[in-house]
Amino acid sequence: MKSVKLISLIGVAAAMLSLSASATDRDVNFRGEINNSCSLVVLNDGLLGVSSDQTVLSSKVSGGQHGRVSVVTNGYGNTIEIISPSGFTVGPPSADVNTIFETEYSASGGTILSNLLGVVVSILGIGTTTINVDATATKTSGTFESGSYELTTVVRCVVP
Amino acid sequence: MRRSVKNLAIASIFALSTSVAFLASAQSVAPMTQQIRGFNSQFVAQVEISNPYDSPQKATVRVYSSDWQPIQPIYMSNADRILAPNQKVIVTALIPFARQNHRIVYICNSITPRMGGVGQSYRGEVCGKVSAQRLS
Repeated sequence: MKSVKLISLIGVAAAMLSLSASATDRDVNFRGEINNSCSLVVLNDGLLGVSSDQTVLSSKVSGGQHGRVSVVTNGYGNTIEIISPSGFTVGPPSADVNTIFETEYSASGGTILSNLLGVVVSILGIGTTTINVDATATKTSGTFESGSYELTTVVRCVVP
Repeated sequence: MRRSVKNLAIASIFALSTSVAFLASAQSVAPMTQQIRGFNSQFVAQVEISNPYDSPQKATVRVYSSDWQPIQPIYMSNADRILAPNQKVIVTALIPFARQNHRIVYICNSITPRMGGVGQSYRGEVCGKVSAQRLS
């Protein structure tokens, strides 16, 4: 009886050995992809203040306030630039006459930048960056007449 | 032991899918870069645009050359449309090679939200870069 038990044990062991010998490893591969993306969210528009001599309309003068934009990037190589307006979208007929437009920006958060002209292209770090944007319209001759003025500045995220 | 490994795997997959979903919900243009090869005199580019704001916004999609001159695509879907909050759509553009073997174009999605300012508004513009190679 004991020998039968021993033989059956040996048989089971042999079967397990043969099973393990015939087993082979197979790799199961997983692939995933996250697209490089850039997201811009305008947090708040700006306010245009007016200089005491009425030659400057700007977010930087008294009564003005800069606009804020949030940029989220998840990859390297994305850049930010601010494109100055070419004219007022709303204003009296003389609004654009002898008027030059400029923009400036600073950044905090994922990217640190300070007082750059809008034409300067800056590389963004990964993560969330908050950008403060200033816009200025200056009369090279004459003054701004009374009325409502509005301008639009473009904040562009792009891979150069 | 096996059950705990299985639970860990399920939790990992859930966490990964949640993080990917979060990233996807915050994007304005994706992918930001892509390379296309084709034999024809035009090529097809696709980008996914989204409205990251909490209110409906008008999204405008335009195509520019490498020196930022506007390009008129042969065909473009969803060039101007209102997007619901966090809505995503695929934009398909059929762009001519214009007798070039290698053409770089930018596909830009712009939204100009009104955020309560006076005198100043900002247009957010995100531009994906497409590099197309014509094989002959």
